[in-house]
Amino acid sequence: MRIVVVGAGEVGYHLAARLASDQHDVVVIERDADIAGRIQTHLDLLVIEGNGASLTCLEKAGIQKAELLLAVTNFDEVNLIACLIASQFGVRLKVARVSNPEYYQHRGALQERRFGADLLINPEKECAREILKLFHRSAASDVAEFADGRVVLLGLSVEKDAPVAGLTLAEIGQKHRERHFLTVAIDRNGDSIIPTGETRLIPGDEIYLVAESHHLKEAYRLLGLESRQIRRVMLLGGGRVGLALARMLEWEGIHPTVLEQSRDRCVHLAEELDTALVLHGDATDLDLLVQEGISETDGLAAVTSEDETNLLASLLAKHLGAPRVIALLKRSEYIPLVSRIGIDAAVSPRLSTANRILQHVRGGRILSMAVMERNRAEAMELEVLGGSRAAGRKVQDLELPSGAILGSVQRGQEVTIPRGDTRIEAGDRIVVFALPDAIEETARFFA
Amino acid sequence: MQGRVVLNVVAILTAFSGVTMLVPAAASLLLGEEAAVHILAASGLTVAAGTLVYGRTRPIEEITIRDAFAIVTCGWVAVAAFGTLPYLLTGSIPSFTDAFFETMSGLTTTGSSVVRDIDLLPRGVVLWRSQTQWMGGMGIIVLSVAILPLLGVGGMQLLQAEIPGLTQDRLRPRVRQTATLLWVVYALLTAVQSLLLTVGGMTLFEAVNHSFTTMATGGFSTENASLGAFESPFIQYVVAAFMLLAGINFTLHYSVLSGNWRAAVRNRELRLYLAIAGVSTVLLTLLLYVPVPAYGLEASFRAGLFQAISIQTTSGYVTADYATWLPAAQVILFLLMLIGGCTGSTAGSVKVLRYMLVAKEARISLRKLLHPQGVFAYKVDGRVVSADALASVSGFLLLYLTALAAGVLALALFGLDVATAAGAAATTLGNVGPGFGRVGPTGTFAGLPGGSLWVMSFLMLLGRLEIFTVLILFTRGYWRR
Repeated sequence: MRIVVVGAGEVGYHLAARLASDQHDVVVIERDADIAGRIQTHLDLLVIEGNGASLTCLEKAGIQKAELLLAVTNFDEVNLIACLIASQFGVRLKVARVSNPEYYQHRGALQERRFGADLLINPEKECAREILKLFHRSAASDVAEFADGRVVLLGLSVEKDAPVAGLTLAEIGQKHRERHFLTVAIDRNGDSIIPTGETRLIPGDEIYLVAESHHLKEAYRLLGLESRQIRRVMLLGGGRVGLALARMLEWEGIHPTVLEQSRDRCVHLAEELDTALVLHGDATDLDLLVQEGISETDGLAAVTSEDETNLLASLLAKHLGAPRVIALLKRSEYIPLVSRIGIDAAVSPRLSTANRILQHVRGGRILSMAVMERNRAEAMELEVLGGSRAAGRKVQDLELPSGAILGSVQRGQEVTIPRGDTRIEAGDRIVVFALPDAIEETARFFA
Repeated sequence: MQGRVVLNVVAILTAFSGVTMLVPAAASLLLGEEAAVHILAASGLTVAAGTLVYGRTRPIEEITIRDAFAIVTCGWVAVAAFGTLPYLLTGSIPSFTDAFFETMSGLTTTGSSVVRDIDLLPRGVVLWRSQTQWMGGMGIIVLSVAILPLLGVGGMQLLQAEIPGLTQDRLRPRVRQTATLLWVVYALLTAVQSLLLTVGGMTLFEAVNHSFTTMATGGFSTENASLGAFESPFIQYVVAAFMLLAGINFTLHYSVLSGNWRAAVRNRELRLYLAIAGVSTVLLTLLLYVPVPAYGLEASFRAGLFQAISIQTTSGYVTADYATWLPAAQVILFLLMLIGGCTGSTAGSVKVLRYMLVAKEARISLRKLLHPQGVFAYKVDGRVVSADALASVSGFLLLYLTALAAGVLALALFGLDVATAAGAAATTLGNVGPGFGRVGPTGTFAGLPGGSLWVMSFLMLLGRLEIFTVLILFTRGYWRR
């Protein structure tokens, strides 16, 4: 499938790389010659240097033959015009990255057409939404929701004094007959493994588990974790992500404290927000953080535009006793560092956006999907088709690719966490978890 | 400042006010009064004076901000000065000082009067008296901009100097259209009220006069006992309702009339305004009913409601002698005098929005103590109020209180007793009407020392033009190039 990506910034680069590795024909249009050159040498795709909103450029990129257009430059207008042009050429799916709420909240006539775009996506907002989810699922480093929120996938750690520490998964299964959660992956010493019944959980393990939402408490108890409600939230950095997040928190009735370095931005924030407290100061100003009661917060997110500041501020916050700290990191290279230095979770705009976009790229049978921040594994929710290899089989006879595991089965309104003898029927909605190497094969398995 | 330009526009305004005198002249003529001739003469003199000056001055090319302040202030003084002619020529009020006070009280919609017995005045003069309030209510300049084509240039500057409210919403792209729209809404409400009052049993003359002075929140009546002369509860309720409406921002009236109810429902100032009126009504009702239950609950409620609204909207009608009420009730009325209606209404005094903003500022100062590095925005109805606007509100409040204090002191120097001086200063500065003590609900301003009447005339003008426009003429910076 031919895919045209306009703009090779944070989001565009990641998407292009991802799609190219999925064996798609990717053409990138980038205005900056340096960036264009760098992509050409690093990735196996075609780069066209020029303006993504220009007809000639898009034609050069083969927009006539393209099935997909991802317009993800930093400029809303360029993205929207690119979509508008693409819609004239009958491109099947047009995705535009849009930051200005005026464009996606428009009413009336514009609402219908959306400038020809099928999907308007706002990376900052996606990020904010993800951080909010992490706030609500305490102790989790990754969160994804499926089946309208009835099934959750969480990244959690095994505590030292956890009731399940030292036990194999089979033993845990025997001890707790009612199985409401399933361990789908374990990260240990930088490696990701799909566990078997003999795998032992040891303290310090980062595990991924699939659970029914209303049985999460039990899972938390077994892992020695505490689940707490958030009331007091502090945001370090009032950029686009900070502002979006603060707004979402306000809607939920939480009054966040927002710390921002630029005086002008502070004024803007104060004007935009209603109940939030806006502070002018540095995110790494120890005195100020203590003064404003950092240790009494239930959640803290470091969301400045600088990765380094976010890491440092998160460390400081942890040091000062903030119980739950989430960092915004643009560079995914830093993400593995996060759990090692004690920060609870990290979120990156690339991955958040990629999550949303890839789901659409993969086509209709994938209902939703999520990419894990930490190890790039993917969880996909999909419908089992009548003629597929899986239909009518028991789980133990499935012969899933190694590196993939079935997380949950939903039939009608009922959700079950599968056992070996659970039978898969056509029409079931399943959540399947796959490590990076197995993603391609897994997706084909259910086709 | 371009003196000739100022004179030119003032001349137009004067001539225009002379033309409006034809209305009472015609009414007088219809009623077969002798005074018709005198009012006609007053009209002729005013128009002649205006035209004469107009012919000798340069027509406007461009109005600067400086000119605008001078034009508005001088315009008001000139119109008030010539407005005395109907009183003087008919002999209704023989002294110029008294007549000037009466006209200024009319134009500024104050409603304080030096007339001891209204029944002795020719009806034409009574109508002129009410009409000055009606014209002053929405603003002489606004009216002129709406009607006279020659004031299109620089009209906005003039408008801003005359209604320096905080919400300068232009309803339409052109100044003239905005001004016309405001007057249409104003006239419409006046007409509806006249109709209702006629239904309630007033004669057409009484109905029109009272509607003129209600919508302007003026308070002049055709009767010596004010609205108290009309026993009908219906009439009192109608007047109370329309006073309340007149105290609301006319932009909101326009919104509602054009189908946008939400704007009104969401408006915070309106909500607070209604809340203040509601709470004071309840308090006054209790203070009237509890000590004298024999008075009746409905009657107590009606008296409390009417007086609270009348004073808060700075109308100044009276249906009861509140001087005989409990001290607490009188204090409530005095406080209402210092609050006033909504911005953009015909009501005077400080106005609710200013208090809202100052209260907000105070709250933010408190929060700032807790969070020294906090950054806060001042928002009203989701719209940000600039720091400049806020500073001007604080400045206004200070100047208002200073003017009040200076006024009380000046009046006391003329020998007025404390209650009278305080009441008279507050009532004239706030454009309310009746005060306390000698100038209470049953008294008049007649017989007060001439000097004190000039002081009060000045206070009325100061209050009506919201201080800044007048005061700026007395600053050194204004005259320096």
